[in-house]
Amino acid sequence: MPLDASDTTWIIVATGLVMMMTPALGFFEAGLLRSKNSLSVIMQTFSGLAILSALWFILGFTMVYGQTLSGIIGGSDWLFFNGVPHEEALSYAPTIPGITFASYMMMLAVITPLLMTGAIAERTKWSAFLVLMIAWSIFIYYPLAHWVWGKGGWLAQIGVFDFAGGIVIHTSAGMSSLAAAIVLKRRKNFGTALLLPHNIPLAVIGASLLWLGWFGFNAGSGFITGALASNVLLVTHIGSAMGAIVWMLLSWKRSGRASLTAVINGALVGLVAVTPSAAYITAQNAFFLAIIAGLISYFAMILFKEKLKIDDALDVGAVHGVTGITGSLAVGFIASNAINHSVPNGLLMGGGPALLQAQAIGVGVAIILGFGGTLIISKIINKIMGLRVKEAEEDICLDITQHAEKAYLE
Amino acid sequence: MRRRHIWSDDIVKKIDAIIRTELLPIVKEQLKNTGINGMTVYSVSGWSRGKDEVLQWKGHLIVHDFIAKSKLEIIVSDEQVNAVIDTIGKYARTGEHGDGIIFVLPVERAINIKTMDDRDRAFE
Repeated sequence: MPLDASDTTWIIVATGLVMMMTPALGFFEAGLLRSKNSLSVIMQTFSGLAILSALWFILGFTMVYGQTLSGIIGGSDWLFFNGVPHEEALSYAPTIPGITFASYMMMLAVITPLLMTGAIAERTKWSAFLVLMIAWSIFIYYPLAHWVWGKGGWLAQIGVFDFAGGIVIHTSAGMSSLAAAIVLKRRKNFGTALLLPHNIPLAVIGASLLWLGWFGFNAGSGFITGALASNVLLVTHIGSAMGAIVWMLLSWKRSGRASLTAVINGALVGLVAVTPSAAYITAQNAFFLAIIAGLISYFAMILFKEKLKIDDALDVGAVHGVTGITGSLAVGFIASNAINHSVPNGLLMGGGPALLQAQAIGVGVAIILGFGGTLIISKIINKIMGLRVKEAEEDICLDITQHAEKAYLE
Repeated sequence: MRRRHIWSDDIVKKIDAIIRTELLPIVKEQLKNTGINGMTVYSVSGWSRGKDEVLQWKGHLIVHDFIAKSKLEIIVSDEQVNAVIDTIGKYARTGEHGDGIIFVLPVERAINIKTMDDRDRAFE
């Protein structure tokens, strides 16, 4: 198949949109944290953009998309991006240059581990953060992405579908967030007014850029423009809108006042909910999927934070993890062969239970690998170098003790 | 009322008033009419017997007892004190908890930094 200029153009633009999501995540998180730790989380996301791009360039791409070694991991064909074609396509995306595909997937590999920064915020040592991000990419993300997205990956072979990353990205990073938050233990003064957000408008700027960036994240993940990308964009936007509405209503019901922090989180929930299925479902089904995912994730947040008292600072486990699970299982119910010929019909669309079974296996593997793997990695890092800053350092703040900089100088 | 020069010998009192931030614009404006020479405004926060401020985290209510207030600092002559108190009392008052409080304090010395004019004030 020859290279297609309009497909290539769209994926180059989409790559930029997804790249923007990582700094946007930093602004979103910084606004919802205390001013004294706001610089540290932007430092983590922005530096993460650089470090995880380099890691993907050196070995990530080949570990995920190289010639499979027994369905477990990609071989070393494209180490350091050597041999990735720029005038020819790869079979993964047959109408765009190989390097365009590899660059686009780089942006996904960057943002995925960094989703955890919201859970481990305000108490993690900078050096331990770096080791955690690199170890998590190599031992959890690259293998899981190969299993689901790599040619010959074992989960792909049993028929698991994950369009833009509900299993690979959101379930894995969300469940990992819970594990890391458990190993790190709660922040001092957890659950009190001392931990209220310092700049909600900044968080809304971040959320707005994430919503926009998600058009690239989802509508780019098919690697073609035209009808498919158009439907995906609509599904994505309606998902976000319904997630925001559900969380707005739930916060209004619960506190008596509609909450802006709830609305922006609800928008992200809607986006996550449709990510695994965006190319396989109708916008009508996305409308209802986002409502269901909004309800489940809101109560999951209350369960994790208020009942189990896990200090997942910005509720990554509920917003990304639980919603990733909901959305990935939803593929098994509402995927439609009429929308996308590459996918079988889901249970509610006249297909059998086979797709749902495959999705459940994929989700289960992502939960076990994400939660279990991160528990082990975090504990090892904690043993060797200490994951958490000293109590006195936490009292002062991470911005000064870890970076000798302040977000706001008076 | 006629404005007085700040260094006239009869300026002897400092008025500290903690008021509702939302009423600051009207209070500031009305105080100009009392003939005072100027004022300093601070953004402060604190608590007293009034109601707590309640904020939320995505629908979860959290008591945030430090309420944002405005604090005025005005240096006046003895004869202006009552006019300032009356004005604040009229325009900063709602009759509910949290209207604030006015303090009147003696001023011992005042030094103009431009001229370094230092006139001791004996409170004879």
